[in-house]
Amino acid sequence: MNGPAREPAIELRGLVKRFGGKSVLDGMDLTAMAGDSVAVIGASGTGKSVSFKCALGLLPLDAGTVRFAGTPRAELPSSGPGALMRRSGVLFQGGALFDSLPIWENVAFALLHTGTMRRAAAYALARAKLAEVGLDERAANLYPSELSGGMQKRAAIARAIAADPEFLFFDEPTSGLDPITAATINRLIEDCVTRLQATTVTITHDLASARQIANRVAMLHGGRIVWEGPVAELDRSGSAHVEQFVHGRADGPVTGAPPP
Amino acid sequence: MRGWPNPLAAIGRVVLEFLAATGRVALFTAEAVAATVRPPYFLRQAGRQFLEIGYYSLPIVGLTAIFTGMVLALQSYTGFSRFAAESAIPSVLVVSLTRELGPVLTALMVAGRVSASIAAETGTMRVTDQLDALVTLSANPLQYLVAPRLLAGVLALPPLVLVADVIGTMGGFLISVGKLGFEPGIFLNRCLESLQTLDVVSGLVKAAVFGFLIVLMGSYHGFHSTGGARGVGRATTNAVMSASALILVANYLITEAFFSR
Repeated sequence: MNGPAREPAIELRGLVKRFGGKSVLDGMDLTAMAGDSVAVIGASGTGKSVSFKCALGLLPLDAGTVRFAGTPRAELPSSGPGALMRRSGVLFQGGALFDSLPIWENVAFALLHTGTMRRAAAYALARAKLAEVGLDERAANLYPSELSGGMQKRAAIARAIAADPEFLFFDEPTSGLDPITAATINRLIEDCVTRLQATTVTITHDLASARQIANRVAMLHGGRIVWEGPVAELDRSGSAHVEQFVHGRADGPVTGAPPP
Repeated sequence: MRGWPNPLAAIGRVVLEFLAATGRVALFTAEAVAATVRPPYFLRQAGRQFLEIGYYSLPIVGLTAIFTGMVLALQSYTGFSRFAAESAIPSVLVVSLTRELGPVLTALMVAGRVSASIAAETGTMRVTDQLDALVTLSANPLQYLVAPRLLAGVLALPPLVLVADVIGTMGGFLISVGKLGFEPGIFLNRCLESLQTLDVVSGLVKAAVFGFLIVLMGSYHGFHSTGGARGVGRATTNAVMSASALILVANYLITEAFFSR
């Protein structure tokens, strides 16, 4: 997973995000080197999804900086090949497939709507990407509501990798799936990450998923990263937070998220 | 006084909230209009929306128009017969329909159907991350979702109103000829003699403005919906209510602009 170049690809520095008076991110720092696959783990309600949305600019930050390949996000072009969104692939927690479009158009959406590809070519590319995640032509022409949860996740992964992105973000890729389907999705993601050599950040509370997908793990608690290290050290981290999370204990420094 | 609400503070809160909401709507309107005139243009989407807003609204608009024309003929007869002024019925019917009832009733029916549908669809997209997904796929949600609908709304309402004008007049014609004893030729002649270009043009201008407002309110409330299914439901209700209220206000303002002396 580690390529020869080891420059920082995604850097989050001092991220602060508040909702009303409640601070969700409170100085979060995270670095993913080029080719790294980092899993951000943490209890429910600790701001994992908020952190990835802030990193991509989908939510405005109250403070902090985000850099992609050394360039501050604000200085990246908003359109064209250098634009952050043209270089990124994102899998949302619920898939976020567009209900009104067939699966193949979902997968080829960016290629069709940035005017770079004609429909026939986009269809062929979508078919190829869907085949990579194990979906056939019949599924390509169905609508999202006609697919099972696992198939929707596969289609959403195909959409995320359609443009061969440089940065990949996966938000809870296995949530709501049975263990077998979850393992299949994990293997798919692992294959995609390896093949694309993309720098990947995965938000998850599924440790099996983190162990399979990631080479590094960071734990988010109290709006900050409280531990970060190689995935192999997850079981001997020396962090009370990580140990409680790994062993699933109710007692410890990590308490349940307060009600919203 | 502790424990008693301060009425001035309550009024102040309402006024401030109203001003903030007005500002948000104005900003959204400016962004939506800018997105509509700026490339890329999603013409396929605009075509789909034209069908959705215009073509699929024809049945309800036609039904509303024909019964409105029929009732208008009956009621006009009841009133005018007291002064032996039945001959004015064709004029009143056609002018009322083209200037007011055609545009306003068409817009209110379309607001109920389309504004609610846009708010529900966009609101669901908001709460299921589909709007964020659009951004991550290099599409501006305003350009992809709102601009084609605004274009379709502005272009679809005028033909719908023309259809309503014709069907409404036919409704009045049926009652006047079949029940009230009018001669068909005389009735239609009087309709055409009474009708002026400005009557039709003012109705069509109203229709275009109403189309804009219907789509704008559906999109605005959908984009700003929060809180899952309950939030989407609230957005839908607010979209229909605000679109209907704005249609009535805009109707007065446009009437004032066209016909005040």
